[in-house]
Order: sequence, then structure tokens, then C-alpha cells
Amino acid sequence: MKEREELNKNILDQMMSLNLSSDAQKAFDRFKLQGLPHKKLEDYKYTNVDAFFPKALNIKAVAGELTNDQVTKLARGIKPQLVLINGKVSNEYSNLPDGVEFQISDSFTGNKDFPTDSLEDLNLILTEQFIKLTIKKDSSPGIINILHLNTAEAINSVGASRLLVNIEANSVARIAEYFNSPDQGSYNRNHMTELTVAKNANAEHVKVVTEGAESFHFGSVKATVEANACLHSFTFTTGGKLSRNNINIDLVGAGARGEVNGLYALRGSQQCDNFSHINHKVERTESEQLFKAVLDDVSHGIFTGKIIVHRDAQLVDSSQLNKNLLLSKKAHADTRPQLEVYADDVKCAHGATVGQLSEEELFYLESRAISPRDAKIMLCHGFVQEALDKIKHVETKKYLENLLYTEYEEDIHQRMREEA
Amino acid sequence: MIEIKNLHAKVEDGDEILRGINLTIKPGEVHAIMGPNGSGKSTLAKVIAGHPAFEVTEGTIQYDVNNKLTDLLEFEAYERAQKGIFLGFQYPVEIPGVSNFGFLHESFNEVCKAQGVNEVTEEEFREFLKPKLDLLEMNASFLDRPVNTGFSGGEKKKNEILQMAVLNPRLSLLDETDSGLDIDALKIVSKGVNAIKNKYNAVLLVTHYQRLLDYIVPDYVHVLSNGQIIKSGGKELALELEEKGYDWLTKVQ
Amino acid sequence: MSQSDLQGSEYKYGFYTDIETEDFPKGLNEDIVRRISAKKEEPEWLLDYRLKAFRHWKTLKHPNWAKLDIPAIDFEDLYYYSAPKKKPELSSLEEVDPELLATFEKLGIPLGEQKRISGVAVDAVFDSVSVATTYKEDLEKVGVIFCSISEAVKDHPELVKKYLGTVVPYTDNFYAALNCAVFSDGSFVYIPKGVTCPMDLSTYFRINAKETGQFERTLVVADEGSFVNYLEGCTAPQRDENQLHAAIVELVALDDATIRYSTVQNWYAGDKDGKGGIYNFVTKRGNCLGKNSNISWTQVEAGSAITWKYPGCNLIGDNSQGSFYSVALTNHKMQADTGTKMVHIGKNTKSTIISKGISAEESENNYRGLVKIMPSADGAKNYSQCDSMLVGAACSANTFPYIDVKNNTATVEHEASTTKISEDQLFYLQSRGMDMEKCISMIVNGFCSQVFKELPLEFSVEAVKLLELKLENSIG
Repeated sequence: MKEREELNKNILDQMMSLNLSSDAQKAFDRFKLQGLPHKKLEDYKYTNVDAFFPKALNIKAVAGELTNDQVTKLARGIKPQLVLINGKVSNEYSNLPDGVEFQISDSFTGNKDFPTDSLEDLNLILTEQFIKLTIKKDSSPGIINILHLNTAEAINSVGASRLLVNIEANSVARIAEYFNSPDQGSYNRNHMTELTVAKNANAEHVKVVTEGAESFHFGSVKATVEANACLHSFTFTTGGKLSRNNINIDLVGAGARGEVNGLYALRGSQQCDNFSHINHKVERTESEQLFKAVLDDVSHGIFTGKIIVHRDAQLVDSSQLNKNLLLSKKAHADTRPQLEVYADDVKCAHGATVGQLSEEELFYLESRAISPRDAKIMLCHGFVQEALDKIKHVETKKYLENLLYTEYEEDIHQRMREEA
Repeated sequence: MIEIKNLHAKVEDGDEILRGINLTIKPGEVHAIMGPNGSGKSTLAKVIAGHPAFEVTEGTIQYDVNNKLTDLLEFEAYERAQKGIFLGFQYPVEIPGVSNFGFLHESFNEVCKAQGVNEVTEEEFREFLKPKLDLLEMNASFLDRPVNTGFSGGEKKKNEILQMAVLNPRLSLLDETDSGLDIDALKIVSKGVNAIKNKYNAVLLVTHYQRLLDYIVPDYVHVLSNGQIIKSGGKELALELEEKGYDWLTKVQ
Repeated sequence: MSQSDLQGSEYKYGFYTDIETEDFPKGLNEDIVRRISAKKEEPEWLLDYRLKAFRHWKTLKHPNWAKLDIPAIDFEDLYYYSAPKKKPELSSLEEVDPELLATFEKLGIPLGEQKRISGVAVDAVFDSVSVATTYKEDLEKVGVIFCSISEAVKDHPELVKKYLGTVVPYTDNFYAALNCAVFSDGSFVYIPKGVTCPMDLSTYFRINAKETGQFERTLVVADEGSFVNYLEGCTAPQRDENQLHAAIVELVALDDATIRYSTVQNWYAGDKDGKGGIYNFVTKRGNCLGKNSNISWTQVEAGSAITWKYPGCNLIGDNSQGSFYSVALTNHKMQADTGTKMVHIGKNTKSTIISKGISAEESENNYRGLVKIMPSADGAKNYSQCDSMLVGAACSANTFPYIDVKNNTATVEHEASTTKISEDQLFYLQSRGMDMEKCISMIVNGFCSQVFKELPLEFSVEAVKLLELKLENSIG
């Protein structure tokens, strides 16, 4: 307990010298009361963030540069429309399409009514550049790839960044954010994305976390979806030592729909904590969720899916599924689907499974002449493919398939060969 | 083609289900195994195909590959499949995320490889599949859906016979292929099986009802009860069973 | 029909027995704990145990993690011991206060030789003490011990000492600690090796006294290869004040033993406005200690203003099995937070959870459950199904399952759904000539049938009637 107090004091001391806007000041006051999240909080029951806030941690933004080659390499074939280095927009790479308005301001312009946890408060306090994109009414500007890269200078510091995307009525938005770093040292990223999806708009947000092996990724996606609009959210995690993905969707207009999906494939001692929270605030809103985990070695995958159907939000249709595949003896899965229903005319279902590959499926493939090893690989592919198929933007999906089936899986193949 | 002698099998740590099966099938023959529920019909098919849930405690299965007898029990399920044994499942397994095409292609190439034939590319395979799809009156869009996922009962069974047509097995074990089929689907499936059947291969039909045998006519009918074949005969035995039920046979036991 | 008639028809056990009692003064301190222990002439070790638990309890804060709105309870304003005055020694049932016998008869539990229920042995607990146990002698013939826990402490100290507190330690939670300090009475069962208990055993709990907490304690030990069916029923008078009930039930199943524990809980639930009713804060747990042991919990929770209860199993022995079958019905302003905890420790252990929640009117009905697979539990399997049904627009139904798997050979499946009774179902039944109430009771019975079929027959009939009665006034 004492150590925690010291950690919080260290952070607060450093914050004293910051020049805070009135919103940031409010966040600071909340943070002062609550401090860093800890395991006694129900929402952080499985995740200990203390280790990633050492005493020597610097919470102020650091400058840094990357060469063209480095950026290209980290982009892995993706053409970025926006690149942030250590949380700051790099002008060199900005290449936003028509129909998108781009603004940077130094104070918070997002939704002030969202409840926040203390890592989200920290984000508001520490962010220096508030980036705002507007997808114009009726427009369909195509994919916007955003690279978030950290440099070696970011080690032992918190890099905070924040993106607000206003998706105007009747538009089609495709946004993909990639989090990566050339350096494997321990850095601490804190990024928030806020999305407002106006009437009849169709939006997709894909988040790709391939952070360095020693890093802590904290990311939060908060969205409001208005009448007859649809948001597809996908959270993909293979990187980071610890990652925590908050996903908070408010369905605020009749006919609004949220599809919240994700895939986390972990190895070594990685831990990934996905916390989704969907609010059905009004009638005739729909949500659908699929989160899949492939857990190897001593990794630890966590999923919490909170669905709240508010009073009088009748005719809500909500479903949720979390499936965990444990590849090794010591892999560990926690899953916690939570359903709170305050309206009576609703259809809600959730499910969770944890297990190995199915014996029946393996036998079916083997009875079709496929060797046990190939059958396992095929079923692993199938397992993750079902999640990846939820991604609408084809190139983004292809990119992730490639990432998973080459880099990540090479290791698994290698091990299967060794075992055979 | 296959010679089963005194075959005993049980579920791992469980009861004995097969209690001394003797059965010989020659190329070009169609055999039907009938019997009441729980008699061990499906188990027999699964044991021949190498299902890991069953343990053979006694007896042999000799399989004839190019005039050479081999002990089938020495091989794992995928090796048996590569040698031309095909099991059509009563409940085809749904595999979400794995495309039907990719699965069939991989399966076909594995069999080709094992039998010393050249593997085929995706394009060649798609061409190869066309007449087979037509035979079973299946739409090509089936290929791009996940294996059996969201298929109707009839579609699943057609998909099984499509696999049979693709793999061209020596011995096909069709486990309750007729269950859950309406009359139209039953006709299509039977047409498929009859088209694949020739004097070099053999078919073992496992069925509860006589209905299927109107369309795929067996040379021999065997009645299985309590893990043993209690009566064998020609196709007329099936009609007799249809009329009298199984009781008159099992009660004698 | 007047308001009071309505209430009367809804809770027919709401009467109060005017009986002379011996009460200790209100409030809780070491002296009260010592007096309870002295009154029951307990051995030194048990007093020590109580005191340890009491001292621990004083360090604890009232738990607030459940999704319940629990008004502050003044633990100093409660009586911790209340017993009907009686002759010091009872040699037969005939000597039990006739007023008490009449009370139990009115509750449908006749205790007298002539009238007692055949085939079921009953231990009747009235406020803080056990007043009578039927069929004792018949059970003794096969070596089954069935008596009040106070008697067991005196007559079978070695068994009580060996098992008491081994399943639920006094450090387990706030109310467990409180119970360990002040428990007054309850039932004790021991089934010897290889014995199938010749009749169902049953405890009937009755809270009568005002402002009195009931802290009973039940311990069931099934030795190797034995089998027992155990039933538990509960009622209380209709009062405007809330009453506290904080029990502990511990089950121990050794190798190849089976315990089936069924509860129909119908404590007074308070009136339409949420006034009065029992606070039912109970810790129930079983240890499947031996290999192939089996414990099943079946509960029908239809009463209490607030229910906070998670009957669970520690599956320690290899191949052991635990099950939890539950129907929880809430109406008026009742709150229920109930579910189970299955902890898999041994190899090839299995658990099954079937939970059906029905919320009506302004009530709140929560399922909360934990399935934990420890690294040692190779081949463990769990299946959970939690369904909720909402009747009316002002109630709520919540599900909070926690699944924690640390072994990759385990298979865990969880399914849950929340629905309302569909218009189509109602119309279909109505078009076949059934009135609304009949339709709803039919659908609800269908919804709960998986659980009801786990209950012994008499209990199952009682449970169905209870749900019908409760729902009758809830349907608008």
C-alpha cells in the first residue's frame, strides 16, 4: 500500500509543474482522489498497472525523431495518412484525403459527460496535442491509417495522445490506428480515441496493438452512436507486455448498432485485459460482440464485457461471445461477461468458452486425410479467422491476417515441428 | 477389400460396444448395416475410420491395398483416409472460420500426396470441383462458406457426399446419411453415391431405416444388435425389417 | 378484497406464535458470546473458536461488493439468543410445548408421533434452538446421526471438532465470522461408511421472535460410499421490521459419497412497499473431499427481502462432481444476489450450473457465480447456463459470471440469456383457452423445469405452488 502511495505522489508531484486547462484540472482533482487503478477495483480486478509506473517514470512528453526508413519499416506496407511520433503529429507524413477536416488544439474538445477511470483522467492531464478529425457529412473518404510510433526517447516515460473523430451524418468512415515502436524497451503509452457517429453514418475503427515487448499499452475507445448509425470496432492485440483496452460504446439513438469485436493472441508472459462496456441507452438499439483469445506459454488473457440495458430501452437486441483457446498448460484465461438489464422487452444473450481445440473437429479433419499437425494449424486459423472476418475494410483485414499468419504463427509452427 | 474378424471395441474406460464383429466386403459391393438404436452401428463405422474415442480390445481389420493386406488398426485416422477410407458423418462437424474450399483442397492434396499423385493448384481444383458440384446440385458459393457452419441438415449431408466425390475413396462408410433429409435431398444424395460407386470401390451404409435402400440398393444387409451381427441376407432382409421391426430378431437372441 | 387479505393470501406463514422465551440482552460483545457458549454447556475449544471468530469479525467491514442496496444494520440493536422456555430435559416429543407443536403443524410440519410426515425425518429449529427431531431412533439403527448441532457437540465431539469450520473458515466473510461467534443451533448429520440414508432428512427453520438474529449452523458429513438427501425449509412471521438471518451450512463428502441438498426458502419478503422482511445472508459450501464424491445444491429462493447467498463446491477429490440448480424469484421490492462458486482442484472434476432468475415488479435479481479451474485440475469440465426472465418493466435482471481458467485441458462453457415472456407464447396458450395467470405460470414452470426436476417430489410440488402464489399478484 505504501508503495502505491509513493507512486501516486511521484506522479502528482510531476503534475504540479504542468499548466492545466480547466478540464484537465478537473481530471487532476479526480486523479488526486483515486490514484492509479488497483486490483481492489472491480474494473481492474485482474490487472496490476503499478509495475509500469516506476518511481523514475517521467510523465512529461518527450521529443523524438524517426528516419524515413524506420517509419516505412514500422508501417509494414501500410500507407499512413497520419503519423504520430511520441504522441505528436509529424507533419512530414500527413496525407489526409478529401472530405476529412484536420485540427490540432491544445485543449480538450470531446464529450465531457463520459465517466472516466483514472488512467483516462491521466490521459486528459498529460495530452499536449488534441487531434480532431471530421469526416464530412455525406462523404466517404476511404481508409485513414494512423500510425502511433514511439522512439527510444520514450522509454521510461508516459506518452499521452488523444484523437477525436467526428463522423458526420450519412458518411462512411474507415479508421485504423496502429501502435508500434522500433524499440523494445519499456515505455508506457496512454492513448484515447473518441468517436461520435452521427445519424445514418457507418463507421469502422480498427485498433492494432503491436507494441514493444516490454511496454504497457493503455488505450481507450469511447464512442457515441446516434440513430440508425453503425459502429464497427475491432481491437487487435499481439504486442505489449501488458495492454489494457477500454472500449466504451453508448448507443444513444433508436436503430443505433454497435459491433464490438476483438482478437488477442498472446505469448510469453504477455497480459492483455479487454474491458468492453456497452450502454443501450434507448430503445431499438443493437449490439453484437465477439472476442477471441489464443493464449500460449504463460500468457494471461482477460475479457470483461459489460452490457447495460437502461430502463425503457425496449426491443434491444444484444449478444456477446468470448472464446478462449489455451495452447499451453500454463496459459490463463479470465472471462467475465456481465449483463445488467433494466428493461423487460429485450433479447440478450452472452456466452463464454475456454478450452483446447475440439477433439471432434480434429477427428473430422483427420478423417479427411489431414495430418494432426496440419489439422491443428487449420483449426487455429479457423478460430482466429472467424474474428478477423468481422473486419469490414478488406486491406486492413488482409494486413492483420498476414501479420498473424506469418510473424506470430511462424513461432507456433516452429514449436509444433520441434514437438513432432 | 476389407476383412473384419472378431472385432471388439469399447469406449475408453467404458462399456464394450462391439462384441465380435465379422464382416468381409469385396470391391464393387454395397453393404448395409441396420439395427436398433444403440446397437453399435455408428461405432462400427467410426472404429473402421479410426475414431480415437474407441479402443479396439480384440480382433483384426485387414485392409487390401493393391493386393497387399495391411493391418488397418496400426494407422491413425488421417492415414486411413489417405489410404482410401472415407467416413460420411451422421453429424458433420461445424468448423467456423475454416473455408470449405481451403479444407477440401488441403484434404485432396494430402490424399494425392499419399497416393503418389501430383498436387493441384487452387485454380485446377476449382475446375475439378465443378462437375462434382453439379452432380450434387450444389451452388459454388458453398465453397466459400465455413465448413458446415450454418448449413441446413440437407446441405451438410450433400457436403459430405461432395467430399466423397472429391476424395474418390476405396471404401466409403456412410453413417446415417439419410437422417434429416427430405425426399428431394435424399434423391440427390443417392444419385451422388450411385455415380461415385463402381466395380473398384465399395460402400458400407449404416442406416436405421429402409428408405435409403430404395435409392442405393445394397447387395447385402446385416442386422446389428448388441454389438454383434445377428443376421445377414440380401436386400429383401431390409424390407422384412421394415415390415416387422427389429423385435422379432432381437427377441430370439 | 382488502389490502391485508391480499397480503395474507400471498404469505400464509406470516402469523406469529406468542410463546414465552428466554432472551439474552440486545447487543454483541464478548460477554454475550461467552453466555451463549455457557448456556449450551460447550467445551473450551468451541468457546475459543467463537471468541477467535468474534475478534476477527470486529476487524471486518460490512461487505458491499454485491449489487444490493443493504440498509445499515445496527448489530447492537439485535438479540443474539432467543429460545422458547422449556423443561431442562425432554425425554419425548410429548413434552415439547404444545404451542410449539401447534406452530409447526400450522406450517405443515407436524412433529407428533401420529401425524409426522412419513419417510422424512425432521429437525425443527425455532428461533435459536432445535426443538425436536423426529425418527431419531429409526436412523440410529443404521448408524445415521441426525440431531441438533448442540447435541452433537455433547454427544459426538470428535466428529464435530474434526469437521466444523473446515469448509467455511471463520475468516471467510463478514457474516460467516458473525455466525461462528454467535451460532445458536442447527442440524448435524453424519452418514456412516457405505450407508444410504433410509429416509430424506429435513430441517425446518422458523424465525419467530422480534428483533432477533437467527444464526444457525448446519454440518453434514457423508462418509465413504454413503448417500443422503437433505431438505431445508424456511418461514418467518410477517413483521414491519427487517430481521437478520445469517447461517452457515457446511457439507463434507468423502470418497464415493453423495450429498443432495435442497432448499425451499420462503422467508417473509416484506410487503409491496418493501417494508419488513428477512435479510438472508447465508454461506453455504460443500467440500467434495474424496474421489468420486458428489455434492448437489438445489435451491428455490422465493422469499427474503434481501438474499445474499452462493452455495458452492470445492471439488478437491479426483473425479468429484458439484452441481448447482437454482430458481430465484423476486417480486415487490425484493433484492436477490445469488449464484454459486465452483472451485476445481482435483483431476477430471465436473461442475454443472443451471440458474433461472425471474424478476417481477420492482425487484432486482442478480446471478453472480465463479468458476475457477486451478492448475492441478486436469481435464476439468464446467457447464453453466444462466437464464433470466423479466415480468414487468420496473424490475431488473443482471448476470455476473466470473470464469477463471488456469489449466488448458479444462473445458468451460457458459451460456446466458435474458428474455421476457414472448407475446407469441402467451397468445398461443390463451388461444387454447387458458387465462393469463395460467399461461404465465405454465411458461414460468417450463422455464424452471430443469431445476424442479432435481427436487424431491414433495418439494417440487411445493415449489411450483409457491411460485404460482408469488406471481399471482405480480402480473398486471
